[in-house]
Amino acid sequence: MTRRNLLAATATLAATLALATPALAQGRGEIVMGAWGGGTSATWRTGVGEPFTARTGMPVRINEWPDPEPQLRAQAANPQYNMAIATYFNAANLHRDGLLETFDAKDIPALATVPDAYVLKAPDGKVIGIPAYFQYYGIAVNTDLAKTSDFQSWNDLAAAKWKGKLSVTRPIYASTYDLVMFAKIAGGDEKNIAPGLPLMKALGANAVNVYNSMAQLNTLLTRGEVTAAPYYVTRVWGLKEQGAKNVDFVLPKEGGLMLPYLLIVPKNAKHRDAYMAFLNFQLEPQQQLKMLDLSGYLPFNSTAQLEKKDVDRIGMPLKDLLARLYQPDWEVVARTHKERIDLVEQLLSR
Amino acid sequence: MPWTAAGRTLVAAVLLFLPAPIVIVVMSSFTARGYISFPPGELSLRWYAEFLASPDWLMSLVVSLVLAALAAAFSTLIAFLGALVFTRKRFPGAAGFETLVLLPLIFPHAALGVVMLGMAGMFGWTGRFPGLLLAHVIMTVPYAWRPIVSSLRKLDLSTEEAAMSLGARPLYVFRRVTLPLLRPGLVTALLFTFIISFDEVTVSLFLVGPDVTTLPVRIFAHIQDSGSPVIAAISTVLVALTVLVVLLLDRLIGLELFVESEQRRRPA
Amino acid sequence: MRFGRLAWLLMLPLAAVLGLFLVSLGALVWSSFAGADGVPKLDLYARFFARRDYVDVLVRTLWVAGLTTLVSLAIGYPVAWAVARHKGRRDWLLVLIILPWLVSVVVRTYGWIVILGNRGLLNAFLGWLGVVDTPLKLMFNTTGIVIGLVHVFCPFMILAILAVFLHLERSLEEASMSLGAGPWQTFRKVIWPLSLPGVISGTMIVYLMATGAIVTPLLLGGLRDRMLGTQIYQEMFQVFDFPRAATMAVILTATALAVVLPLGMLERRVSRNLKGAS
Repeated sequence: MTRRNLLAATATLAATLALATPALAQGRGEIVMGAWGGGTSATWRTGVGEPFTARTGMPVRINEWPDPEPQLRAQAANPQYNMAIATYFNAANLHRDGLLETFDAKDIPALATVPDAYVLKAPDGKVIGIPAYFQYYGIAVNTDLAKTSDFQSWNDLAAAKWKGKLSVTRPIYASTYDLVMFAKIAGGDEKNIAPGLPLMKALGANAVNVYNSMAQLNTLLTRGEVTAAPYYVTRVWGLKEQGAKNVDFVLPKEGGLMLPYLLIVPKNAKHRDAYMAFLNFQLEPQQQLKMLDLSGYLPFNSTAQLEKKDVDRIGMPLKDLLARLYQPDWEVVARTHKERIDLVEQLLSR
Repeated sequence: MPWTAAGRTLVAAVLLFLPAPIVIVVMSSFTARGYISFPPGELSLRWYAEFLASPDWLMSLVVSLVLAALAAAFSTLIAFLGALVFTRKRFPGAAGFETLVLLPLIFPHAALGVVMLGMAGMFGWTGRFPGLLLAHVIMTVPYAWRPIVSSLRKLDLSTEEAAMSLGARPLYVFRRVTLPLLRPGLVTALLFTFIISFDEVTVSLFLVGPDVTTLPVRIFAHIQDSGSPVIAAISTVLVALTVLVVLLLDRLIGLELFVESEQRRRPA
Repeated sequence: MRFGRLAWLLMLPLAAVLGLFLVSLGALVWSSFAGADGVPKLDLYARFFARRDYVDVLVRTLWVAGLTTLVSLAIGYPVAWAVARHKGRRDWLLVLIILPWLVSVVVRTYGWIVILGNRGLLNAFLGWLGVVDTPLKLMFNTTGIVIGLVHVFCPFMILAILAVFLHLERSLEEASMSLGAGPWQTFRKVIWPLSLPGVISGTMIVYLMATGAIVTPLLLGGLRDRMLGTQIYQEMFQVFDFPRAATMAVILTATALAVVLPLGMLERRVSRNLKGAS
């Protein structure tokens, strides 16, 4: 296993250099990338964009947006971006509407370092986007008002004592993240979400609001207006890094949801040489670890070795963590997206 | 109007209520912590430094200011020309026409995004400044229309006729009599349209691109992902800038924005 | 009258801009009547009214918008009067009134969380005064939404009414009172009728904007406080179901017109009466 990965890593490096050199020689092409604002775009700019420009001479422009789909869909006839970071269900949706370039696995040598289970593929076997990094979903807790031991199970969210003290995410995410997780722990999964509905309903009954942005929940959690909520681990790490002392993260005993992110390329995007090189480049261990450092997102390149401080922060080795995270079939999630959003909306409004 | 102590208290309360959340935001902008907190705790100017040193933020501010100024100018002009004819000439279906003009205001703002996208797409202007400008002009025309029509309707035509009977030519009358009397309406129109355009986010979300993005869109994008106080710093800078501009206008031009001060109108 | 041919030239920019808008709007509205084989159907509309929570959202939207308009009028009217009759420089008062506009509504909401929250400033103050035992629920419910919306729209109401008050000669008041009318009578018979055009104008603008409100209900409302503007926005940006969004938009427009058209007629009648009287 290790030797194969080592070979793969060497191949990646060689291939990337091979791909990058012609571009360096000609100096044409650029990356125009869209990313979520704040930390995400800064991570890509510093962790990948600047090193990429240093190596290949090609400029990297990163533009911030609240969401990938509006602009990508609006510009479908004449794409101005040739790169975007997105969620797996964003990618599945866009692909279904014919808006993305697809790839042959062999054209992106670095893909060999990513376990196959995490590569999003189209029915015809082509790769829809290139995995970038992942994080996971659990429960964030305000430790002034509750203890992490109060939320060792997802089902603790339904406890009557939390009425009016929790928060829940928008139906678009609640239906793809929370509902899927709740279904899984109740014996269902992303195909059969019915077992997850009671807990979803109970969470809604206990929630005081639907949070609409990271910033909003950050404020509500740190101010104690909300005691706990299903939330992203990197957000809690971020709050702690910025000095918040009263927020903590719990990975429930049933496990958490793995949240992967990938790079997608709009159909007919410009500068193919540039984006193919970029897609490979970001998977190199050095860039993957730099992004981990900047934002807490965990690497997909299985040869990237985590430092002790990162392992400590997770609380266990990466291998053990992955064993406790559930990765749904995102294609199924995306396909049923619309009806499940409606379902969750109606569920939460009663 | 019965002006009781209760009335005065109410007005004072409202004048306190309006700036209240702004004051909180301003104070939160000075925090050294990485997330918006009130009380700010340890103080720092780092978020101002981050904003003023960021070409992306500054660029989006400039784009928003230019966009709002152009949108305000164009929509006020377009509305003014149309309103002149509308209020002076009788034609059938006038009420219906006015409803059409107000349609971008009547039709829910959230749904306008797709409409504007269709329009911008017609000219190949998606993700480009002209597309944004066109959308903002259309959205702000109703806001310019109402104050201008209101002002025009109040205008006493006999003033103009008197001036002309004294021998002044129509264009002179227009410039020296009509326009000054319409000033409150025109200034209100410019102000409303500027604010609406400057603050607009849900339509602009569809129309921006890597080369042009507005400040509200950027703020919206920022908070989706992170809660850094830089947005509080940006808001404070905007407030400070406006206060500065008003102060300057006051000192330099002595401009009373809306008012025909009563002293001027009273006959000698 | 004075224009002749020039009239059509002056109208042209407005007509062109409107025409463009109507064409694109028509395309969107048409999509809400989309049926199989291109035959227009009311399917999407039927499906809207079949969903209990959608109907709730519609009713709530109209109710909250109406409440917001009334409160804005109740507090905006006296403020407009106070500004109009203020002796001395009014510019700073105006800056105070339009100050909220300079701060993005999304950013303002942080201020509200700090002020209105259970552990916020207002509750802390009231608790300290001993007025309340448990914190007042001022956020994540209709109250919070109305507070937020009034804050956003009140300046429009104030400016609309102020514009009329500024045209009002102070001498009218004085004349009325010198003829023996008390302050209340002067208000009822002279000031209020003359201010009516501004009141109607402000009411129309605030009501329309409130029905379409997106961000404030989203950030200050609870789970069961959804409003239609936000719903449309979610259809547009998260699900990209344009025909369904169009359906909701048409329904909302119809309800808005049901209020705005009569108000418009009233405004025209009032203006004509006032002009006739002077």
